[in-house]
Amino acid sequence: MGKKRAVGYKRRSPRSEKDFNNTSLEKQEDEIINYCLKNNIELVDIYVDDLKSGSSFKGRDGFIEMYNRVLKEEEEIDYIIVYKQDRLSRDSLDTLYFMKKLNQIDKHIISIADSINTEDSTAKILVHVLALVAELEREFISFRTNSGMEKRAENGEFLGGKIYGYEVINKKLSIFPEEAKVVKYIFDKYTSDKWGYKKIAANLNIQGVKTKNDNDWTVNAIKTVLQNQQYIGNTKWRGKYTKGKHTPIIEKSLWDETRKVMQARSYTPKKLHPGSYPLSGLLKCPQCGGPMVQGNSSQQYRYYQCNKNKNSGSSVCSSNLIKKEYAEEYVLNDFFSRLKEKVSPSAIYSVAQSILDYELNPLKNEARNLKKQIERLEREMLKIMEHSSDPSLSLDADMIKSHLATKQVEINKIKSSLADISKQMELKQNDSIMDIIEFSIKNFKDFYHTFSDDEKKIFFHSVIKEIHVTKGDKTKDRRIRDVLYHFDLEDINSIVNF
Amino acid sequence: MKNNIQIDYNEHYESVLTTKEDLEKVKASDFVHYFTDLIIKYSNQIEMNLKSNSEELT
Repeated sequence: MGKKRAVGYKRRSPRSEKDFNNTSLEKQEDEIINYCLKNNIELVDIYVDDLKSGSSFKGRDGFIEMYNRVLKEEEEIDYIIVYKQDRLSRDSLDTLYFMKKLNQIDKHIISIADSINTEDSTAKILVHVLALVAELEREFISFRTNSGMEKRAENGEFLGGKIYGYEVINKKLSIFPEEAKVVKYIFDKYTSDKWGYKKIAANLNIQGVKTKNDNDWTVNAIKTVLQNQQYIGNTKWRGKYTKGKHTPIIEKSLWDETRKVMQARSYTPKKLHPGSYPLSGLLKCPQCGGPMVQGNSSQQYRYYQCNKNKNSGSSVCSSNLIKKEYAEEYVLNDFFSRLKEKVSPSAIYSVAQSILDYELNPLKNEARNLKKQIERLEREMLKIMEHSSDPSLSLDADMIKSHLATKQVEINKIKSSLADISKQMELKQNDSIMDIIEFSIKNFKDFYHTFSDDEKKIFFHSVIKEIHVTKGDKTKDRRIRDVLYHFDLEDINSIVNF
Repeated sequence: MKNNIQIDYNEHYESVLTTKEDLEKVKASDFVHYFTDLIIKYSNQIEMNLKSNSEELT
């Protein structure tokens, strides 16, 4: 029998100082290497997740890579070795799922400090127990942190985080004069000079003032400052405000005045130029590389514009406008040529078959419901007509007419939905589906224009990753440089059974 | 209580434990399903266009 093969796994949690019996990454690695040497196991690799929580597998790239490698037959890995079981997970369901998947293909977990090897079936009981213990420990850590925070909040003490205008000295907030000046400036400009969020942001950016994280000011950043009660001396814990111990930057009278101005100016802005901008976020600015969004253009001239320019002003980035019609036409053509060339209608056909098989029953129910609704409305119409011919009721003729018309409109609407559904049900039974698929690929550009605005956006976002724009001094000079896709469209033909 | 737990835990774990390379396949699969959904949704209209097209040809 050949030498057994194993991979090691080590993890350090983000709040490792609060972890029970916290073990350093070096110590975990040493223990794994020594164990393999002692037990004549070939250690193939050690995977690591540093400062990652054990509460979920999400975001643990090291773990995910290891898991997928171990599942591969050709790798011939026999064990996953950890120093302690809680390094794998602090969620009992996660641990049990992981163990089940490994054991199904005769691979096993070794936890050195817990003396566990799941090859021994009695050790599995211990894995269950330890999984619960690991989960409980996580809850204790969280409970202790929360109760500590709650007490600090009650006393009005600082609870952590970064607040523009303050610096943290000995876990206490203390005014940072340079930034406090900016906070006052924001409140003054907004309240006394009636400047808007964007104007304030753009102005600060021109002056070279940066946010706490060294970013440019944006509309949202300004709004956050104006709504932050910490500037009048309060602290916040889970949505509740209490009187804090730090010195306020803004006087209560100015704060109250700001509330009044905010209330007076708060309204849901009407979209000046409605319409869909399906490439929003996909187009990348040629200057800053950030996303481009709907530009503040006129009804006649429509553009995509750099989002940074829109939110933070021209000192951060230029507008770098690109014509909406041109960009969308280009991208549609690019996609269309790939679709025609690379995607086989039979791949789509097999997906359509599986969808129709799955949906037939709910569709039948839906059709039955719609038919019932039509019958009910027709009965109601009959009743109205009966009442109208009854002289003792002396009903107003115009009112009856308008009632009947409303019912008829409703019936027509339902009938059209019923026709769509009946068509879908028919599709399963006949062969026309293949013709429909071929037609929609061949005439994709026309098909695309029947989509709703939302569908257009979802469609492009689900297939395109990024669209790059060339630099240019004028709008007409800017062109699409390339369109990057999430995947090669040819892959669709092979992944249908994925 | 966890409010983000999905009913099908196998599906949940498969999606959580997917590597970046496999993500392309998942995206392609999501896309082809969405595209097909649209074809089915608009099939009535497409078929009408199809008919009018063939009538024009004959």
